[in-house]
Amino acid sequence: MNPITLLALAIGLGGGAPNPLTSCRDWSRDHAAHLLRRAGFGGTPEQIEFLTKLGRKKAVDYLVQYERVPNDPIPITIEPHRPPPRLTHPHLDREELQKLRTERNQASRRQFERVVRWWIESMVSSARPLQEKLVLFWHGHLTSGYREVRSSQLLYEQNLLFRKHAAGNFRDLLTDITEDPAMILYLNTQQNRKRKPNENYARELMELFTMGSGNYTEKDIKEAARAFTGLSIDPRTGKTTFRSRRHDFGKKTFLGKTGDFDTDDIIDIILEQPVTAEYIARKFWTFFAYDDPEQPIVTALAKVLRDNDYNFKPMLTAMFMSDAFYNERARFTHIKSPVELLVGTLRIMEIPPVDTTMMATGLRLMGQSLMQPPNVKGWDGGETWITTSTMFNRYNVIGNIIAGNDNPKTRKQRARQRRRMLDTLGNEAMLAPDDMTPLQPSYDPMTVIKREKLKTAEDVVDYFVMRLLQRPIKLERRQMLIDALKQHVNTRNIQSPANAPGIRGLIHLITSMPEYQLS
Amino acid sequence: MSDETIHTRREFMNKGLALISASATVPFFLDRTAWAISDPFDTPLVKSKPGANDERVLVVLQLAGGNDGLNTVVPFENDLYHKARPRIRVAKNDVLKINDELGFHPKADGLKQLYDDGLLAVVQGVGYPNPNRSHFVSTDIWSTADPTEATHNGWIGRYFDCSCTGMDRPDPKLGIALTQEAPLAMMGKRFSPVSFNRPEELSWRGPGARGAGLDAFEELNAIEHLNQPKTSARLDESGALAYLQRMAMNAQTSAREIQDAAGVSVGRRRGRASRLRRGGGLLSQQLAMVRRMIAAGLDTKVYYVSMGGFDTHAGQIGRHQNLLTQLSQALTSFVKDLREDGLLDKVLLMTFSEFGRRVAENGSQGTDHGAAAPLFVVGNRIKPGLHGDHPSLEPGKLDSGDLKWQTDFRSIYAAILHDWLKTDAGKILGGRFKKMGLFR
Repeated sequence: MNPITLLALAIGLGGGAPNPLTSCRDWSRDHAAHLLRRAGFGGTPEQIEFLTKLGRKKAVDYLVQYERVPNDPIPITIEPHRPPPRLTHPHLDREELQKLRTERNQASRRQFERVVRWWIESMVSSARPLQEKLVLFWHGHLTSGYREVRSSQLLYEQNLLFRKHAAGNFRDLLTDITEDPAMILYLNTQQNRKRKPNENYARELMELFTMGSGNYTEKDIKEAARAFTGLSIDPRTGKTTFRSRRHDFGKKTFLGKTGDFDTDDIIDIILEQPVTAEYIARKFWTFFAYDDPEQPIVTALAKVLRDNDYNFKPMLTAMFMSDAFYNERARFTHIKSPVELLVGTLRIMEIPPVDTTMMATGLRLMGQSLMQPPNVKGWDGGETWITTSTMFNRYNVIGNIIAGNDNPKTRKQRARQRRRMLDTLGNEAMLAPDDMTPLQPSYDPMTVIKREKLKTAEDVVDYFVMRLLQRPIKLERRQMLIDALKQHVNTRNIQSPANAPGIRGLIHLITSMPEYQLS
Repeated sequence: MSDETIHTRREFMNKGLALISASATVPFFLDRTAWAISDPFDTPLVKSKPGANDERVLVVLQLAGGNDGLNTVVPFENDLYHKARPRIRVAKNDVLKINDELGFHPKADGLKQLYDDGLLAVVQGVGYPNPNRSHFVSTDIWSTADPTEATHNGWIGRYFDCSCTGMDRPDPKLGIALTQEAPLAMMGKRFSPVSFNRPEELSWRGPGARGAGLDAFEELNAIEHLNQPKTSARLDESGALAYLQRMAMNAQTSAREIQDAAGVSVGRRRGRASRLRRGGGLLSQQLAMVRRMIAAGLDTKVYYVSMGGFDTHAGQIGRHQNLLTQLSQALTSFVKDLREDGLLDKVLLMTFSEFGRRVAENGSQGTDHGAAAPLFVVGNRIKPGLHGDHPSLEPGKLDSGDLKWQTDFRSIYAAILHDWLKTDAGKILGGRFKKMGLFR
């Protein structure tokens, strides 16, 4: 046993347990790169260098206090809410109504695709990577999906809600999400009425969103559901309304307390439970650091959360400052989700997200359709990302982005799609300018090769290995890459533009290594 | 084999594959050691489990969009039928008669042929209580076998979950879906199938994918230590890397086995000249591929094929004719090929559609979403003929204008699970359903 461990033990024996969130001053490029991969989607060598120079405290602050960083949101036009045709056209017969309904659904579907593309673009382009990572986290935690919600506008607004509260306060987030129209539709709060309660939201709120099963009774679910009665959506505006005639004003007994509770009271009581803070802390640690965290870490993190009245920033800071966040259980042990893989590649390589249509399809093929999680639990993640089919899709989707798809075949395909879309729409004017995305150009490696003054095949391999994998690899693996590259480029003049396809091939190879699947 | 040391990944792949192709013809000569290497999961596959019937294959054919059951199996003597569908009805003289009341659509001549040959069972009025008329929700209900929408995995997926014990994940090759994304019906708690439109998709498609590029890719994904954990159990980087290497390896082995069986050329390998039929549409080609994979002796127990276009809200007459022509041709040539290969006894095909269509036609010479509809089962070991009664067309006996279900679809699943796949249907369906007497 080394002296430091002995010392720690001595302190532990003397004055309570040692702090599991200790933070020493150790800080290197590797730490900074790890922080950027987890608190964001990974960074360019320059971004890593920037955080390295800041030191641990300032680097963490830079990411967590993200409001200080200027950021231009990606613009998107959202059509105003369209009431269902039965309200706007009560005089029409069933078939004419059906036609209008179909037309409305198609418009919503097209807008949904635009919203997903907008989100992808936001994740790739944002100057506030932690905010984007948190929005993704909340989407996978407080889930809603298009199939159930059927409104692209409401899912967009829910995404804005996650943006607003991403690193804010859990109480505010829970209050707003309970009254969020998309969530109301997703978990049937509308059907929850005084005389006909629907427990769906009350159950998931406790089981998945805040406490975890085993910490409340079926009776608690029923009582909470009573408190949530009366929330509804006005079909004319698409906004949440409270219909007091459907609300149960009676006394409720919930988690040992009795009163005429409403939504806010139920949330307050849930937040009083120590298990809630632990549940959320564990969820954060699992998402950002590693699976199955040690109990002392969870307890300490939960304490930070409760001591700060459920404000997230102090907990995020404690997490990113702790040594445990950087240890060997954390580093390169996380299997990248499809979003992390795709957004990460674009950010690390500084590839602009041009053909976001291809990217949205790619995510679907890799098993992560944004705004359509498989169920209310969200994505299971980890090992479940990897199956025979998704494995090849992971290689090939990234390969397609590097290679680009601006070729005659895709151009023809897109023209066909456009014609089909126009056929259903009837006229050109109805096609939104961003319904069809431009094709993705090939990644140009020559700019960076010249800028970095890379001279040999070895230089090129070393540069892209460090840029993409962010750590050295075994010598024999390096040699395999060098040999592969040399077969495809003219080594006498590595900077020749004719070498670009060969170097893109090298990048595809590196992104197809098992090392690249890990973060 | 067990005495040899395998040095490189290439050697590993080749030896593994040699074993696999041998297994196609002599499946029982495989020794345990050989499997330990060629089966990336080290699990005894279902075929080698005592009690499991290794000969049997199920093909699930989804008719996506909601097939119009009334115009597929037509109650031609019923005036209510003709009254409800003045413009899109099938005339009495055109039907291919089954009996004095019912007949197939004239373009479903292949179905009629199968029926006459004693190879087709028609289960009438299949549905479930409180029918949902949304494509998505109803497809989910059929896929999960749960009308309450509380289940998030599929009935076939759960079958594979059960077929494998311990901590191992079931071999994904047990279920193959010819769809871009894995269908919910095939997704288990632990099981997920191999899914693809074309088997070529299951390959690394970087530059030089036919030569040097592929060599490098394979080298870089080689397994470094053969005794790797099956999960990323070790909580450090080497554990996670080992898991990924194993999965990459597994994906490639499965992919090659499937590509070889399907007869396609990928990478540096040349596929056998495939016997693709011209014409007959996509479904014919997909079923031909399924037939090749069955003939090649893959360990796959369930294949899933989907045919779209059945959502005939408008201009139904021509569209439905085309759909039934394709379906009919595809099924007859599938059965013909299986018979020639001597495989007909081991294959069962079941169709399903998320719902039938409304009894009354709409104003666009089409039909809107309905409820109950007939379901077809094809095979040589079934009880052929009509099962159950045709639902009533009396206005008072309809469910919001739709046919009422007579047979719960889960009693068909129960029969297939119990009598064909020889497994505990109650456990998979989460309850006892009266099993249809579908089999001889």
